[in-house]
Amino acid sequence: MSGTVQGEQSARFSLWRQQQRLAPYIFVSPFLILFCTFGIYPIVKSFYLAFNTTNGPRSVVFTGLDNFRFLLHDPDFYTAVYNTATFAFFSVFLQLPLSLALALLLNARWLKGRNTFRFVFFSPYLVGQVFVGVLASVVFVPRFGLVPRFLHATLAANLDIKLLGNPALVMPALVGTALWMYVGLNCIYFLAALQAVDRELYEAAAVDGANAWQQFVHITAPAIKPVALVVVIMSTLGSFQLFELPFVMMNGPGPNKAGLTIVMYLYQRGFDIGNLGYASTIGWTLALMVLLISLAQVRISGAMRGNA
Amino acid sequence: MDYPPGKAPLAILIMALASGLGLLLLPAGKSSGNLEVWTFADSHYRAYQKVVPHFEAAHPGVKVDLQFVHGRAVTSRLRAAFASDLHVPDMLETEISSAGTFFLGPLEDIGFVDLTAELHKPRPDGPPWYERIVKSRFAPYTSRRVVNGVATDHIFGLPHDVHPVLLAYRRDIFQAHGIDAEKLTTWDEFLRVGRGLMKELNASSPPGQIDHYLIGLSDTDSGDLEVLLFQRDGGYFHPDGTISLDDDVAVKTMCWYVPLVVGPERVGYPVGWNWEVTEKFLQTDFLLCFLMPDWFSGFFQKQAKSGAGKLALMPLPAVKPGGRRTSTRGGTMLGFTKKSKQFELAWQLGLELYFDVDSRAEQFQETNILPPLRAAWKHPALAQPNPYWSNQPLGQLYAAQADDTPPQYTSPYIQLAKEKMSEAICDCVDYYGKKGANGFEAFVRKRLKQSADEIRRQMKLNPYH
Amino acid sequence: MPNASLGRKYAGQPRRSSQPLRAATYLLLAITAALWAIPLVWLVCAAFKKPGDMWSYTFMPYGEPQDKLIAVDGPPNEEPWVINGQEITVGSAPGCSVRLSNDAVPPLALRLTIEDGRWIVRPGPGVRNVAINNETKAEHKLSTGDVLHIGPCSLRYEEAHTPTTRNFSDLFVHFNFGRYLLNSFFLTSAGTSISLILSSLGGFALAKYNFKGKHALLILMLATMMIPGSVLLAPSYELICKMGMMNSYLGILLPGAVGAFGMLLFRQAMLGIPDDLLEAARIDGCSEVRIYWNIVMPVVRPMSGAFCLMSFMGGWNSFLWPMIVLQSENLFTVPIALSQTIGLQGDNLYGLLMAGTFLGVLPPAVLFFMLQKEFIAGLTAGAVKG
Repeated sequence: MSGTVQGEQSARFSLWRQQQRLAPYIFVSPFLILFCTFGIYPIVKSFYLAFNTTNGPRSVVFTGLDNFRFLLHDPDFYTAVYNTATFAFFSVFLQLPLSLALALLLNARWLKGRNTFRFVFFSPYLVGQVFVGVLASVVFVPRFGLVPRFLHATLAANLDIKLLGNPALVMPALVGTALWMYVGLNCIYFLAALQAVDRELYEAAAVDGANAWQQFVHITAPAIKPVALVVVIMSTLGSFQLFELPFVMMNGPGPNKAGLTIVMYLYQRGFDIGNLGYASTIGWTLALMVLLISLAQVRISGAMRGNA
Repeated sequence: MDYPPGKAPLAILIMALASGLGLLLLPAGKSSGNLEVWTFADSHYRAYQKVVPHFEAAHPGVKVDLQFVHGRAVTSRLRAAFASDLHVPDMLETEISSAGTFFLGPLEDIGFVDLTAELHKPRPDGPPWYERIVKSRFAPYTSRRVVNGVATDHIFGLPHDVHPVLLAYRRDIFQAHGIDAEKLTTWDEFLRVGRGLMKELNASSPPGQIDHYLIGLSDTDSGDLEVLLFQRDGGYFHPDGTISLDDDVAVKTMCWYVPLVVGPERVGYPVGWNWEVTEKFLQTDFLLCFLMPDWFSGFFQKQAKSGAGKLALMPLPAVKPGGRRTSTRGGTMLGFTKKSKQFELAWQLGLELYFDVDSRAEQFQETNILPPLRAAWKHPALAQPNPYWSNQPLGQLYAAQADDTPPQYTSPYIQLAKEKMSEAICDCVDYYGKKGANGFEAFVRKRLKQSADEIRRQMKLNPYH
Repeated sequence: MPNASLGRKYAGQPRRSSQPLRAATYLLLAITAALWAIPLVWLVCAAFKKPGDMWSYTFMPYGEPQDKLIAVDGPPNEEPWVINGQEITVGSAPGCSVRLSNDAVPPLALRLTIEDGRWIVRPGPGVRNVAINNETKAEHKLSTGDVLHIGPCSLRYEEAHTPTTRNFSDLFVHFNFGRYLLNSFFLTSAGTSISLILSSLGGFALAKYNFKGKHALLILMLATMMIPGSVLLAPSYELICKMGMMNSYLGILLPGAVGAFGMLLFRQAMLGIPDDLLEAARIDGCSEVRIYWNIVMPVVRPMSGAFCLMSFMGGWNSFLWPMIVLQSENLFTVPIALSQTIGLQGDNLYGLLMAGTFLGVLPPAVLFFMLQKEFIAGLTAGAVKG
């Protein structure tokens, strides 16, 4: 009677209470299970594999530090590091001023069609690295392609210029393509930061007699510093993991390994040759490099901020 | 209905369900045969499709599932399949430059069936298969193991081809300048006369501009250098698997090759794979000669229409008088997987695909590829005059050189070796372009030794060596 | 008295930008925008070009709208024959003047018919084979540059220089492009949907609950975000092999469903939801799941939109891992098919490649149009706030 109804209610209440308590665990668990299987386990296993060598099918042999010793003496690894670092350096330091300049231009109060311009600059990013790579491989075709013809018309370059076949020109081609892809994205970041700056600050500064350059240094620059840092860090991290663009553009590392990046090197040694252990070694070395560089960048920016 | 996460997630969810449904309904092309064959070359695929009905008729109850798998996918799929318990076909073709990579590790781990015994088995209708085929063509598919000082060869694939290399030349231009190319039997003579011809042709061009090159040779890729190295009995590896990239013959060949593609005495220009460009080369007489393996001649016929009737073939000039007049480039093997439970049946099919004289003759007419089986060389199809190639009996020309083709010894590191060679060429071309012959031989020797040492180090990393 | 010159109210006020400055800015922007847009415009045009026209026209082909037969080695002023209609017969007469005829006048050497928009040449009655490009065949599909031999004369075929949809139809008919598109759509959208649910659920739990191990989980996820994905390639490959998910959709969907980044994004977005709202719902008797689904998710719609777009774009363009996992050709996604299959076919198929690229770029572009605002807001939210 009333006892059972109350019993029912309290049973329901405790059930409800239970599910409330359990809810977070249930919500997190599918993610957690998958994360442990495909996130944590591989990380740990990779650490183990780095000290092993796999050769031939299904054979894993513990070889201790042999992989690391080999890595340190492998000229191909250094080529990959050199290529990747060069790419990262030029990518970041060419993109930064260019995207900032574009953002400044687009920030003009009186500008019409800002969204259209923004979209045009951003569209290559939408295309994605693989498709850009495919397009680039066709657009760089010597003698006939768009870019050799353009270079011939503007810089009087040789029409037969082999941008993807000449080891010396591969890096400029890569950097240029990456520039085309990512300037729009960085421009959007900068533009958002610029537009977040209160116009009144400029007005106030003008009243105080500051000229345009002083306004830039004292108002604009501090506003975009955090964004600039984020852009630099993200660009660097992204550049160090470059794989798809050169791989698709040149269907491999390119002439004389001019397009070999660290991740491509990892892929070749791990999946073309089959040495998964060595691939893990390369992976961890890359992780270490990336960590050190990020730390360095944060330090430097902190120092800059301290001095500013 | 209001989907709480929003419009876009709803659209994406619908997309997922719709495409998932579509995939379920679409026929996945499930293999419906009980004998599975993979091939990666379009021309082989088409040719084999003609052979399969014969085979199925002769073996009732057997359905052959012939699949076309792209080159890179074959290697990676096979490697993944050998590593895990993935599905493997009963037999498959693999290319010469990757076959060796499967010979890594202990013999038991190699996924292919050892065919040596089967090939040497005496047959009721004549000598064993091993004797009927050009012997040098087994080398790229053989793994030599040394046990207690005794070396044994293990053959893991049937060779599809011989791929002898001839020299294609612009007969019309040579004749117009009074040169009988067939008389140029050594490289020295050929280059001497060729240079003279080049000078004559370029006389009408503005100074400094070269509108006519003698021969198509690459300055970044090891493909052409390989051909010339093999001709001289050089190669990437010795029969015992040690690397021969820095041997004397390789150094000498590189020293001879590089001045042909860069510098003041240059006669070569890269050919590449862009057929529109090659067409222009033929129309403008930009390139006069080409290294021409049999399969390449087939491509020329189909893609480079401007050369019809103007090109002719001759044996490669020899290094020394009386020397080898050919080389080899490329190749395919047919391997049988250990996991397959139908080796006998697969073997029968393999023999029919590769060693049936009539079907190989038909393949030859499609692709110009010479069969490795000596008996097939007498087939009338090979004697037919080929109008593209100035009505020469193309098949017989290649067949005449077939027994001379040099062996290509392989190793699990063959791909690495080829890459290193390409890099070495780039560096040597660079050096010669800047410094000329000054100290060139010493540089080449050092550079090739560097590449060879890198591979040796890689080999040492392998605990099975 | 206010400074009347140039309309300034006070010294130092940024003066209303002069016309030349504005014009210069617009010019600069226009030139840069043109440089940026041209490759993509070229891409779209190239998708509609015939192989012969690929390099002859920078953008759209605009030449002769007719197919023609031109006499090789003919007199210089001889007009090419324009071939129209559905079927043409070509006969030869002495003196090497080749006539076109639409009525049956023997002897007929060649017959041309249109099939699927391409001219096919076959022998006329009384003739066994046709002679094309120095080869004799039973029939031949004409392409620009082919030379027909009729007796002593040679005619070169030149296709009309007009745009075509041939590349697209070839993609679907000769290559399995429909399948590749379907694969891409399925893997990307299913992956995004799964990711969305898992990440938002997890983010919700991390944001609005206190449970044992919450901080540990948070730190763990932040730590793993610092590790580049390439570290995971080799062991994931081994794991997938062992679990038998190699060469299957699961091998892409399952490892792809987890990304610490998404979960942290949702956590960030959900932190701002007032707790009273949730308490009120609980008092009303809502279960936690209903709170998540009906209350929280609608509130974070902008973030969901941005996340969906980012996840979709990332999944659609994903290349390295699918290339490792997907081995059968009928499982390929569009990026893999373009670079590994179609892209390796040879140089006369650039149009095909560009058509495939164009189709491959369309879906993310369309989605972006729908979600522009959310995307940019999501992008900049993290960056600007630092």
